[in-house]
Amino acid sequence: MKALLIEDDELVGDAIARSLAADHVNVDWIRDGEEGETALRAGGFDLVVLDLGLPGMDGLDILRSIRGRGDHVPVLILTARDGISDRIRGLDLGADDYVLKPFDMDELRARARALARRATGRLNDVISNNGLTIDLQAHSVKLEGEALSLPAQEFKLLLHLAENRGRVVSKEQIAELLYGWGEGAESNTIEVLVSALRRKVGAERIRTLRSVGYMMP
Amino acid sequence: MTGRLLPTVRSLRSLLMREIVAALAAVWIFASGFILFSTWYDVHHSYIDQLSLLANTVATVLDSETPTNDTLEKTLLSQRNPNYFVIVRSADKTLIRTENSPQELDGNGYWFLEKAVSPSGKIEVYAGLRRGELWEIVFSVALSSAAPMSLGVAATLFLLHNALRRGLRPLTSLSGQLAGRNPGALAPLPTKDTPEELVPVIDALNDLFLRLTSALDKERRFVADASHELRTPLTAIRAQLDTIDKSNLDEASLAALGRVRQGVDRAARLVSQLLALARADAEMLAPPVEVSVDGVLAAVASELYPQAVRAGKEIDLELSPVRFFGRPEDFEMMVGNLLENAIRHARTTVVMTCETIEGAARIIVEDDGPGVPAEEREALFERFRRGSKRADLSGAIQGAGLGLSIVSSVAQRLGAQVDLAASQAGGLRVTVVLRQAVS
Repeated sequence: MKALLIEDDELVGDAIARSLAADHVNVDWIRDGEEGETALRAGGFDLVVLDLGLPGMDGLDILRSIRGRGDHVPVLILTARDGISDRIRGLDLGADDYVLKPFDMDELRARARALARRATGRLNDVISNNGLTIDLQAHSVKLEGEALSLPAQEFKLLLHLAENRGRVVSKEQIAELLYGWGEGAESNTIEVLVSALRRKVGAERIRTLRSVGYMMP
Repeated sequence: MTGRLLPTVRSLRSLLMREIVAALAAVWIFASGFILFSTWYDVHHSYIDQLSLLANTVATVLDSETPTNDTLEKTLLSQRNPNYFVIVRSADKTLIRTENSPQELDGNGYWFLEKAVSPSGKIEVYAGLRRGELWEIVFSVALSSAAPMSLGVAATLFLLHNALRRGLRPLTSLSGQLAGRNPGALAPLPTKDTPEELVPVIDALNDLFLRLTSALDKERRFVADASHELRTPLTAIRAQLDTIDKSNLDEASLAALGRVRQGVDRAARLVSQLLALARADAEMLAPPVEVSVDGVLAAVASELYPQAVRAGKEIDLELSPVRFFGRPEDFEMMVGNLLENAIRHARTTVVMTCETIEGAARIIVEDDGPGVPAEEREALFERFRRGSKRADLSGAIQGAGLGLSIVSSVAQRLGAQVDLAASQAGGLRVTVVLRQAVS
């Protein structure tokens, strides 16, 4: 897998590059927005990790020009915790995911993996966490080594929660994922689905933030 | 200064009106007095002339002829005014008197008299009329010239009233323009079609707007730059720490590493809060919009839920739809800090609710932690609200200090009231009441 890292800070960039390399990702690290833009035009990346606060060229401008020319490469943006408007604009402009600075490296790696997986359609991957193993190729789930049989919807939901581990997934997002917009999006349906899934994987693996959504811790 | 030099003016128009009415009233009173006096003077003199002519004529006529009532009638008839009376006396005896003449003469008191003596000196003639009658004439003459003047004064006042309103219209429209713009609009006011008296005022205002805009821009830029500059090294330290291979570390080193990470997180949090405060002040003038308060609460709770779960705590939300005019960032900052504090101090659960009660929005964040003793609550709040004591800052990193300071500064801007109390579970309960929620 080949990733483009656009990050101006030496220390931050070095840490990300080394961490992604440890995940067997081939990282091209570019420190300047305009050079990054040139590299992106050349193409050939499976993932772009983009810092929004760049010298030379605004990260949002780079994002705009990527999507402007119809390039669908997955983009993970790095943004400040209090730059809420930047984050929202970034997602509106077509970023696929975000990480808040200062970030947890494990989180960044997990998000980068999930993005690349979705983009490349690679199915020979396994998400494993806390005794729960999701095999994407076999479409199977194992809990403490024992196989669980999950209906398609429950598997889809579990995978989504696992991919967004450590982050609250709202009921609206789940409704969109499972049913598409507006169809069968009554929260009751989702609650029933979640409680069924929770019975199978263990209540502590799916936490509820009342009236908002669910999270896999 | 000006307060002492000038009377306090509530309305320019009423001040002008008052001054003009006073001046016109003085002029009117003076002119009326003058008219009255000059009328009296003229009438008086013309009557003296007439009466003395009458008396002299009668005396002269009677001197040559034997005075009879007949001749007297004739002579009197030659005079115009039938109200005149005539008394003819000779050697202290009244010879003839007209019917309207008084029985007794009292000099010039009630009656207005002129006396003539015939050339021979034998006959005295008194001609006169009632003094009241003289005054009636004076008043009627004076009134006939004063009445149009009063009408003129009234008309002048009416016209002035309208003219003042028209004349002050540019001022009214300027104040309307200023009041109508939202507080964040610092665009210069147009000087086209402005009366020259107002141009300096508008120029001064525009100059102020310009300087304010550039100062705010500078501050915003500074805050943004500082945010980046302060956060980047912290991000770098955090990212580098995470790349350390922990498999080769002994237990003591692992613990030390954990503490370093904690310290970095704490510093990052402090930087975020300080910058949030600075940014809030710099963006104070951004226009308010309708905010879904429950939406903000849900978003903030989503953001902080992972943190709560990591700390082994639960967040319970009870959100009813609440709408309020303000800046979404203000709500995020306020609620975020309240929730973060509550998560830190809670034993197991934080409860956050919002609802609209009688047109007021109410947000409650409570925890089941150790709480704050009643006598310390107010002091804690006061102390941090002032935020002047430097020593508090070091403690604030650990505790609620800076968070509450942000909460109170944001609350002040939103016009919200923040109350600290004990929660049912024994922890702290923070209630934020926002008046005038959008219904």
